[in-house]
Amino acid sequence: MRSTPNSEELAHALLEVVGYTVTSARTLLDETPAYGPLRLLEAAARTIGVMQDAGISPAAVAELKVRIEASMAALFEDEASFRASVDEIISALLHLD
Amino acid sequence: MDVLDAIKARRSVRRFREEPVSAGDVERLIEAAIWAPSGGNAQSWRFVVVQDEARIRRLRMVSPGMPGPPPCIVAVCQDMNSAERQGARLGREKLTLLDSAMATQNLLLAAHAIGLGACVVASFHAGGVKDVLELPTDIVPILLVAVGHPIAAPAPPGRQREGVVFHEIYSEF
Repeated sequence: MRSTPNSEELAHALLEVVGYTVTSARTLLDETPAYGPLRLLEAAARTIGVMQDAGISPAAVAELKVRIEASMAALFEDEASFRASVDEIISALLHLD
Repeated sequence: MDVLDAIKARRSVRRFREEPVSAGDVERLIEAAIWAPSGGNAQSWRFVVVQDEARIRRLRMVSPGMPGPPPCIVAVCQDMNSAERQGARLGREKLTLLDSAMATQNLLLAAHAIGLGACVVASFHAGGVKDVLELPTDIVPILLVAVGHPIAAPAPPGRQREGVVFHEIYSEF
């Protein structure tokens, strides 16, 4: 198990997410538009991962990461299911308190 | 493992255990890759095996299609000067892609045969990958392959037969 990162490590981990997001903005120009939602959800999952490593992620948020990753798998198999699962994740995010 | 069984059972694996890929297994993957067909026998492919965690994290920054994090990434590259010298324009523009794909398929099948999982990634920023791997100007990344011990393999997607194969001549339905 990883130890809790210090602020420098946290900043570095967040910059990795920034790098991923900016790179996605560039590579998506040449890719199928369907990859857009995937990249955004991946960025969300990675951000939660950083929060988990930093010990600042409530259990409910960690559970959302699992749901986000599961929804990504559904995109190319069942778009209706994908839409529904992302809608539910949005609702869950609004009611985390 | 029968090769036809391996072809059908192989999956794109996107979730891996932290366990590293052994040097022996890496060697077997590369050995399989370099025995792929090569147009004009140019063999202008170059493979960069990455297992350092920090470098893998940097690669994932510039590779949006990269799952994981995998314990090992094989960058399938081409020496474009060598390809052009041996295969002229055809070599540089076409055979580099085809050879890389055939070598990668060999690598994927070898990984599956020895119990590893792998996933091919084409969604990456070439300039970023060149930077992370310190590739010289003439060495170009074609594909990245994430490799590791699989947590789970996805269900097989269907394969379409209708409208795919024709005999003697192409015909419309």
